[in-house]
Amino acid sequence: MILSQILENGFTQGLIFSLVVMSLSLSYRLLKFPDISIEGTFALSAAVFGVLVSNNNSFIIAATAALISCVVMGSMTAMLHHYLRINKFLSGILIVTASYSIIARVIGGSNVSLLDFNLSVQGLFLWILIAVGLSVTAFLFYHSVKGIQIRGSALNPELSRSLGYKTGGLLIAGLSFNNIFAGMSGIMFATDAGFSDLKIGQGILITALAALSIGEAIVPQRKVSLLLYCILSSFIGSIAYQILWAAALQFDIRPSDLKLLSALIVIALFLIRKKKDTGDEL
Amino acid sequence: MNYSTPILTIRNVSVYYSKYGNTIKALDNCSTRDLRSGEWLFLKGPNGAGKSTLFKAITRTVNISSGSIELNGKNIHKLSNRELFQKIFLISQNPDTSTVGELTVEENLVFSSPRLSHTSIKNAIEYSQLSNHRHHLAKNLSGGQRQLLALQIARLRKTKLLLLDEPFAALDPANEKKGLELVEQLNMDGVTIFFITHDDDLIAKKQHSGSELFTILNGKII
Repeated sequence: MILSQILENGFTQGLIFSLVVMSLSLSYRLLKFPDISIEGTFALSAAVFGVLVSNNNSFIIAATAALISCVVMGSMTAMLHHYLRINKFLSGILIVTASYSIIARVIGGSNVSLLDFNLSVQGLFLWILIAVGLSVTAFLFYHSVKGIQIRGSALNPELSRSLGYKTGGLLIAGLSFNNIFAGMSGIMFATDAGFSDLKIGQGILITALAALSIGEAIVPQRKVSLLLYCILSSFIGSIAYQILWAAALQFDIRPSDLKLLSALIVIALFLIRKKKDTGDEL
Repeated sequence: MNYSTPILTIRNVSVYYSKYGNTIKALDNCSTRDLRSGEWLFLKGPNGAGKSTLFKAITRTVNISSGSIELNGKNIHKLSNRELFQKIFLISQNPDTSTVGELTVEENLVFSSPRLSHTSIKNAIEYSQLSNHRHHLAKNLSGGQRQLLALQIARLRKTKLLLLDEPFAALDPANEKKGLELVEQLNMDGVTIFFITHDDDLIAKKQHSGSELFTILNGKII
């Protein structure tokens, strides 16, 4: 594969995955909630979208239904943590575990094909439009009064309670909103790949972590607001990671070794970060 | 003499907790004079005497074992969070109790008073002399500026009872003076002040105008 193809593939895949990275970043950095349920959200959204589209529903209807499922996933994670006092990680793990059974029921078989589904516009153009549109939406939302309340409540729950806020409701709103990005990423992936199955979510969390780690190493945190930092580092990190990935695939790597490669890239990035000693944990 | 319903009544309040099988008396049968609208009340005592625990009991951060605390004649445990904290605001030495470090100055004011207009927020920022820091994160402000922001939040929320737990203890004299001026201003606007401080000059000055000082030692008010 020549360089231009590596860059093009990396850019396209980077855009598709940038939204799931942003979902992770917004929850973790902005709301201090490491929401690992995005792995299930990504796959469930792709499954719901795939099944509806393969049954001749329009893109808009299928995407809307898929995104509603993401909101449910986000809100369930928040509710498990807030109302049942389940640890943040465990809440996410429980939702991811449950989501596999739900996805299997939604798909009703091993996979669902989207090869007959054709977008009326060019994929890359639509992905740019969706990614930029959703980033602007995130920026405006988290600067609105409701967004400030969600951020403030997540960052300082004690003060939030003493100001009379219901912190549970705000956490549910925040994680539901953030999960929409992971879901949209799943929809874009299924459309681009032409299928959806039970396994497409596996490893997404590691991919998102690796991409975010690259992005955060590149974007200077002190020069932008935290919100802008989350958005920019997600985009830049995701595209950079996918270009690296596309380049790595040029070497004859067995498909079964790809997960190992992914983990090694993450470990290498953490080693680089450790040398830079940013003081921040990811 | 002010015969209105007291804004704060503290009667025989005890706070006990267990540690390694021993019962610790953080507060032991504490009562203070009723605090009425617009008054000052001071509390002094060595570290670990129970001063902050009393404030935590008022804000329901710790449960009281016996006794009662009333706000405007109503037991605080029968009030909703909203009802309680509409009237009370706590500012302590730790700025995280009253501001959010990761929000900007403007966002902190929006967060604490979401229904206020943009103009009111802007005026409040100017009033607290933080115009140049409007878009700065609260965590990047100096200690004094952050306490001024906290006082501004109390003013915007139309707090009735301001609990001050040594908020200016770590500040330089100039910032302490600014903070005290704003507290005086809030009091002139009708806010009741319950102040934990070791500032004897301030206490003496206020005692001349009828304020009272309580001293707490080993959980008991003496």
